[in-house]
Amino acid sequence: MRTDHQLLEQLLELHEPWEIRAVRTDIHGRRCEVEVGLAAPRTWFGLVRKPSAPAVERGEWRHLNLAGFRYVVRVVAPASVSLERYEWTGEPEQPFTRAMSARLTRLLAEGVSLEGICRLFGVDPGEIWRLKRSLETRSVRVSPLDAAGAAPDTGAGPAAGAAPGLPEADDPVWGRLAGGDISIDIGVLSLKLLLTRVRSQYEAMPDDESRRLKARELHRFFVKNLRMLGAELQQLRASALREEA
Amino acid sequence: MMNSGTTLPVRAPGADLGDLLDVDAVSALILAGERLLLAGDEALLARLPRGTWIGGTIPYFVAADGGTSSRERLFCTRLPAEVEVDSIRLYDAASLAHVCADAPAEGFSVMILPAFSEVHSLFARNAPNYEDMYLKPLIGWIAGVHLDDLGRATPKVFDGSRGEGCEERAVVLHARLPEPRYARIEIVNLFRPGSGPGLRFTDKGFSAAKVLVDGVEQDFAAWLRRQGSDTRLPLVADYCGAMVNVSIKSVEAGRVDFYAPVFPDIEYRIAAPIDDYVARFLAALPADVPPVTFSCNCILNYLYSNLEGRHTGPMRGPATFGEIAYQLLNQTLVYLTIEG
Repeated sequence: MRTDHQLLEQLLELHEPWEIRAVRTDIHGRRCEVEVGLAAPRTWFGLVRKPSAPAVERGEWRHLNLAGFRYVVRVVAPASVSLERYEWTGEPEQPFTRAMSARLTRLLAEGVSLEGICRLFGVDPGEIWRLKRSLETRSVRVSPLDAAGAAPDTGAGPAAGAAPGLPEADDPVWGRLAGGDISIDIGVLSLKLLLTRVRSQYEAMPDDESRRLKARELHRFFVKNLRMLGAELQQLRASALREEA
Repeated sequence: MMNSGTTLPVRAPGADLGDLLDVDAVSALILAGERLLLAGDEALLARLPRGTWIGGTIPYFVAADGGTSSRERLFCTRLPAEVEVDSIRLYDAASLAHVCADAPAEGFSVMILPAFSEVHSLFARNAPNYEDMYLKPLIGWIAGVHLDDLGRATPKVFDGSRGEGCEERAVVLHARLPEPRYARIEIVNLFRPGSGPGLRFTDKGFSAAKVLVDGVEQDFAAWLRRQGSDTRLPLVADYCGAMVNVSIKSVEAGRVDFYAPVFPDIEYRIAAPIDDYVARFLAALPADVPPVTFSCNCILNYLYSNLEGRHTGPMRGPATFGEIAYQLLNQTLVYLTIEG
């Protein structure tokens, strides 16, 4: 059972300290209710700490469909815990999780009909109208993930966009660096740690698209930290030039 | 800015910013508007006035006079004038994963976590996968207690802006830097992988029963005993040239506990022995390092290398229950410089 929960936690993108507490599946109705809460604090070497605040019911939201099932996420957590940054939760009084709201908003913006959306997701037209009304009055914030899907990856901060001599984000040199085909001398701790993480994940990526996204993390890092990466950039450029030749 | 009646250490341009001060001197600095990173005894931290400071409990330091233990003085690091404090926040288990995302685009963050707390455990296991991890500089340390008080006292962190001490939350100071200045975090780790076999673990965690020794599964505790390993030496992994330690806490029948988690996708080796830590440490310091804004070293280096009364050059700071240079480290000196 725990393995099933772990798989579902991955699909819902739940991370520690959140965990699935219970799952109720209606096979015939193709519907699944998931109760999410905070995991019990782990003790360190047997040391006992104070118990956390009592958990209360925080809300229930319709989430994205998974494997043909309609998912409902119910969250039970202390009232002091902020939920607003989790895609699998929704705004109070709203029917959808943030991820679902973002998906529906995008489809509406692209001109997909209300009827089509309702058929596709198995949602009630009245709830879509509630979402539309909320968007018009801006009481629902569109998911940043949705925005990220459309926006170019330019990194953060003033260095973004100003990267003379830096290979473009889609240059194959980033994939070769991520895959370990290029070895460079690195003098910056953060790049050493990032590259170790990226390489361990890159090997396990199931397809080229996933690997491309992983390689773009390295481009983003270089854009953000270009000022301290002169020696590393020089080696990368030399490698890119060798590849072109 | 300063109270003229209080004797305060002079900060010469380019000089290191941290040293031990008594509680009255630190209070005066706070009231004068200095932005401080503090380490010391809980009773001292609790007496300080509200202001722009964060702190954590620990009574061990490497100060200007060398390694020392004190319950009467606080180690005080003053942030340079060019640093703008963006915010001071407390993070619980649910919000901890946002610590890097919350940081300003240009600047750095200093985090203190109470040892043995849930946030300590969560950070140790999951930090490498936090949003914006490695993109924005994150440095810090794990608050602890006097070793005589282990099991009786509880490590705490303090948010000076609210005058609040916490056992279960992390305190973080997010700071901005003006263009073109940027923060850089580096480490000094003298440990190198020894000549022994590669060790891998099948699960992420703070303890392991089994280990794959050159690919062959073994009882890890029994294997360590057979090897006659010195358990003061950490496991070392090569992260693209950065040596990252996992220190061994204890070896019991059928189980080995660590001070930081091992990860299944990393190969470790037992570290090679170090004969004279201080001599090697001073030799390992980069010659052209800019003035150090903040640094801390590990309590295990303090203890195992007998740092009490010994000097480690420009690197001063608390000797802690764990160091943070982006992720949790063990038996490593971490430091922050402002460059550009």
